[in-house]
Order: sequence, then structure tokens, then C-alpha cells
Amino acid sequence: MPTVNMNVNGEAVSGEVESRTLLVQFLRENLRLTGTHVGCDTSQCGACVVHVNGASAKSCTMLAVQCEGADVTTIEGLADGDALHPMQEAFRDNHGLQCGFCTPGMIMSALDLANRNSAPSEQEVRDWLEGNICRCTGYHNIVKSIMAGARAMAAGQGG
Amino acid sequence: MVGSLGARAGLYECGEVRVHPTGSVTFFTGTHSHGQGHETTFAQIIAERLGVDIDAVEVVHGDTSKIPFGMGTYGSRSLAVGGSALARALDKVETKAKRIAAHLMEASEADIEFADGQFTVAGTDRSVGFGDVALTAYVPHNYPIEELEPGLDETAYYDPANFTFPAGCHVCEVEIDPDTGAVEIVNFAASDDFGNVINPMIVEGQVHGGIVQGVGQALLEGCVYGDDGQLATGSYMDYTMPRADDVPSFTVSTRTTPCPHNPLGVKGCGEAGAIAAPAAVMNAVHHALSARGVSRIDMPATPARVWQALNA
Repeated sequence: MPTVNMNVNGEAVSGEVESRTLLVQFLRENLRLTGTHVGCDTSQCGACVVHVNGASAKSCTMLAVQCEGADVTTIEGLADGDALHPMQEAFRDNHGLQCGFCTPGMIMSALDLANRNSAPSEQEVRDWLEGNICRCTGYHNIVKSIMAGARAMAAGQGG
Repeated sequence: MVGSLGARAGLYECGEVRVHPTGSVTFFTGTHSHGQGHETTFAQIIAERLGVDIDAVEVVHGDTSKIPFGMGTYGSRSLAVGGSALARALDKVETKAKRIAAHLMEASEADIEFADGQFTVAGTDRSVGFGDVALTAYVPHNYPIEELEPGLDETAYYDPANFTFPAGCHVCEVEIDPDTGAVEIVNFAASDDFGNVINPMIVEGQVHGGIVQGVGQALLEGCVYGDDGQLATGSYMDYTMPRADDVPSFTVSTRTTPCPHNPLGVKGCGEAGAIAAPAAVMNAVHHALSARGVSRIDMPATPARVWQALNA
């Protein structure tokens, strides 16, 4: 079995995996980072979104070996101890989650958007979420959360 | 009451309020929360009623080795039925706590008033806090031990006397592209009467989610089978869940007429959005298409169906 090496949430990790092992399996089963969810296994729902080299990617649609040498960030890598990341805080403040299953993917997608566009419009947020499905919230409060989170991130950088 | 209508299960709900010696509270409920926010709503009710900090309240659900025998979550009933069981259990807690407070202050039980976490002898400045009463219940040295068991842990079952009847009005505005048959929801407003609202943010969130589930039913979602009986819509690749760009933000509000027959005056809320939205969306679609002579279209009003109706 091939050995794969990558940086996950700033830490060097390695593991022996089958060639067919998906990134999400490696994260959840080898590293026990179960914050990244598997919703559909068909690249539709976005519950598995993580960042690979700074860009959002569906980890159920990448092989672990494709991430050799890559920097991977999961939802577990965002908070600083007990202090939530501003995007996580925005989801909490705006009731941006109900059952929470889609939330890790939503937040990782949202972060990629906020990194590219510090003040996205409602329509830009809705278009960006094309790859993330939520059944509980009707998206209303997720969109609100992302716009607030992006503003908070921009304000934090400015200060 | 549902027994008389032929139901073969009791549709009551249970609730156990266990006050700990520290004055913190654990609530065991037979309803189950998987995103509806019961941990918040039930904790709010307890915190407000007993005058304890909301962080001192824990809600336990979903573990049948811990909770009393309950009925669960369905039919928008968790607050109306489970919350009512909670209210009844809190009544019992308050009644017993008043007896303990009366003993501590050497007053008549009938003279004890309870507000903001303080038991007061009416018309005097003598009072004792809820936390002291809780501790006394478990360290019963100065206690009416002959006539009252120690402890402050009460269970109630609530069997509703009637259904609740929430009502509301949902208004939808659509624009239809005649070239493609695509329906766009440009505006959606909803006003509902859920009786007393414990947590407006949670109630609004439930309505938002329900509306989009209703929009899905009206415009997007449908199970399609092939002639051979094979499900053709077996994954999200083929079954169209509403996505963020299929819907707008919504204007939602509530009007309150308390439910007259349960202790919290609350009505069902969880399903309201999904009940009203399909009708509102389809009425809007029919209204738009009627100008082009289309008199009927079935759900889901997909672009293909709308285009076919327009070009029949």
C-alpha cells in the first residue's frame, strides 16, 4: 500500500492507504477527524468540503494520494482553542445551522468565498453555495451568516 | 383524545425535571431534537420559570436508558405536547419547593409567592432563594420530613385535550421565463400564528426551512421511475434538492393568539412552512400561466413541464 504524506491543520501526517482511499476516508478513518462529513458520496451535497492548498475541494471526490505533500485544512483546524473562527461565530450568531450536518462543508466553502471576496452580495453567496445542500435552514440564515462572517473576517484583517 | 379517533398509540409526552442540590436542573424528555433546538427552547422555559441561569439547565433526550417512556417528535408536537409535560412537571417542582420554603421560613404554604427564583412570604421581606430550597431538599436537616419526601425531582405526563390549530398566510411571487419554462421565486412572505413563541429565532428558522422544503415539492423534487420500475432519481445527481440559488431570502413574521388548551399557549410550528409553501408557489405559478391560457399544471412544476404546458 502506498504511503501518503500531507499537512493537515498545520501538522505533518502520514499513513498507509490503499490507492483508492478517498481523502475524506483518510481524514475520518485514519486521522479520526470526523468533523468532515460524508453526505452523498456523489459529489453533490458538499458536506465533505475541506481546503486543499487553500482552495475548497470535495474530499469525497479526491483520492488521498492526490494530496501528497498538500496543505489540507478541515473544520477542526479553524478554531483557536476555545475561540471560534469569525465564520464559525457568524454561523452561531445568525442561527446558520439546525441539525448541523451540512455545517462543516458550508463553513469551509464560505471561507473560500470570503478569502476571494471580502464583501460578497447575497446573490454571490447563493451562487457560490451551488455545491452545498442544506435541508433544514432554507439557506436564509446560512446566507446571512456567510455575509456577516465575511464582514467580520475583513474587519479582523483591517484591525 | 386521539384514542377516540382510532389511534392505536397514546400520543402523550413525558418530562422529568430533576433539580440537583446545587440548583442546576436536568430535564429528561421523550421528544427528540435533531436540529429543532429543543435544548435551547426547553432550557429557556425552565430558566424563566425557576429563575435559574440558562447555562445551569441540561436537556437530555434520545437515550431510552435515561428518559421516561415518551412518544417522540412528530406532527409539530414537541413544544405543544412535550413542552406542556415540562410545564406540568415544573408545576409539581414549584408546589413541592413552596412547601419546603414555607417550612424554612415558618410560614403558611398558602402565603408563599415565587418569582424570579425567590420564594417570598407574601407581604413581608422574608425570602429564600431557589438554590437554598434545592439544597434543603437534598440535605433535609431542617425539613418537614414527616410529611414530605426529600428530593426535588418531578415527572409529568401530558395527554393533549385537543389538537393545536396554527394558522397563517404565505404569499409567493414568481416570474416564469416562457422560453425555458424556468420558474423563479422573486418574493416570498409568510405570517403565521403559532400561539406564544418561546424563541423567535428558532421559530423563524423552522419556517425558513419548511418553506424551502415546500418550494422543493412544488418546483423541483419528484421521484421518477422507469417503465421497468427502476428508480431513476436515486441520488442527488438526479433528484433535485433545492439549492441556495433556487430561493430568495424570506420575510417571515408571527401573530400571536395563545392556544387556549395547553399550559404554555403554544401551537405547532415545525411543519407550517412545508404545508403552506407548495400551495402558495403553485397558486403563483397557475396565476402566471393562466395569462397564457394554461389552466392546470401538476407538481413539481419543472421547467420541462412548464414549457410543455405553455407550448401544448
